[in-house]
Amino acid sequence: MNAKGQAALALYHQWFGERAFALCGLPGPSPKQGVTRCSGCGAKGGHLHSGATHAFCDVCVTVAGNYQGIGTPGRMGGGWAALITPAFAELTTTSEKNLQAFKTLPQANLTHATPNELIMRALLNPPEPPFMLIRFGNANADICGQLRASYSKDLIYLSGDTIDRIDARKVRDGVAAVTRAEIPQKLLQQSVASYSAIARGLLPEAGLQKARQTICDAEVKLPGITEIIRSMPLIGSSEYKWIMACSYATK
Amino acid sequence: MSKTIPFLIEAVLDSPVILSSDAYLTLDSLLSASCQLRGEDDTHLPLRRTADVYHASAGILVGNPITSEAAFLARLTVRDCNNPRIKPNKKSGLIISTVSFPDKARLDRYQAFHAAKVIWLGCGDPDETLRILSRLPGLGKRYNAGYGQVSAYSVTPIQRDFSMQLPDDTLARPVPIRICQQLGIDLSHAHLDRATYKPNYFDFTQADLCALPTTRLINKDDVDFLKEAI
Repeated sequence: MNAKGQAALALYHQWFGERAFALCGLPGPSPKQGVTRCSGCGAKGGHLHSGATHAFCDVCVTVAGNYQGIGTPGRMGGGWAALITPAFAELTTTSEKNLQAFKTLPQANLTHATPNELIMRALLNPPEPPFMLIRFGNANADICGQLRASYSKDLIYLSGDTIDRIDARKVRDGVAAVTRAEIPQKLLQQSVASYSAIARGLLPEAGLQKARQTICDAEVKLPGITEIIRSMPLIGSSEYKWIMACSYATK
Repeated sequence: MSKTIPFLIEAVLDSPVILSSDAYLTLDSLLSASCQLRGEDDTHLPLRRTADVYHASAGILVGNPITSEAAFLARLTVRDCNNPRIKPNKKSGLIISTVSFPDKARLDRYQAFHAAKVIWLGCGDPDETLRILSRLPGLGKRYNAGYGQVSAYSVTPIQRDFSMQLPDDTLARPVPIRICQQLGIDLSHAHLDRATYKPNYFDFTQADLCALPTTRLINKDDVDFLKEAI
């Protein structure tokens, strides 16, 4: 793990590491003699919690639940997200059971909401950097290597099963433009798909004409939409995905 | 360094090149790698330097490349044998399972770009830079598996130094924010992140808060504009 990951891990550890043991409720027998490093991140020297075949450090034990050798704290699987700063932590989950478990984390804000709601809120109104946004999935085995802190409000990393790099300024600009023009979702999807196909130059001439016609039709329905879609990220990008989520998910 | 002039280097690609979103393939990183591969000293690259930062842009792909996924399977290797849990050929030793976490085979997924060319902007000795660069066996990750193969390099002297900032005022390479003012770089629209900004780029212990480049693609017409800009 490089220093970039280590800095993120330190931030994660501040909130979850020391409390992980209580949070998971593991009995935590001492590891077998000779085992000195964590099976998840390879860290040496820390306190290890032993399972049947593997031993995990304070951090990895919180997320290693679904893997063999550890008494599975099922609540630590997918379906929750966390926003962590040095000053506060915010956790969201839709599960009442998880909410009860998270109450062992003092000073953390607990919200009954979907993970995407927290992520959308963080993209639109990010806290002061540095901060870390984590979406926990069901495969959190390598979570220690998959953490990345954000040092700017405009470039936000979404840690988790994969590390997504999101240009949050593009997302905010896109959401503002879509909301201002009150573009119907289907019309926006069709227009951006057509524009993306033209921009990528992957269509034959007949397909290009059809795509141009789609944009012309959209312009007739909603004058000014062409300018908006020209400034939007292309379809398939993570920014486009979050613009759509932030613009339409709550409607 | 015998001469210091701005220049533009073009590399014609024979195969797709693998680039990740936070690896910028800067010209100085490639020159440093080329020197290190031959065991040569890489502390004096033939490029101008301002406050620890070389005047060498990130790699910019020409055109609108098709992307594909390049996936590689990574298994336990010899270097993993330092792990105390691995004790081969010993019945009484600790055992590992290579079919489950954490020792199972891992699938590394990269994004490969099918571009015709890559360009870099620099300031320094163009001929020496081209000589060192052209010794590289390939560009980007997994060049030893056939990615990032280059058929030809060419260098063109240009009028203005765009190696730090492009004509549209976006950054051409990662620059630490502590020297942005010295270089006259406006940070109001810059993306900030912790990144490395000098060789060895893989050594994140020397990372600093940097303003990052956002231009990763360029049209062919804009390349001609860069060559002719005065």
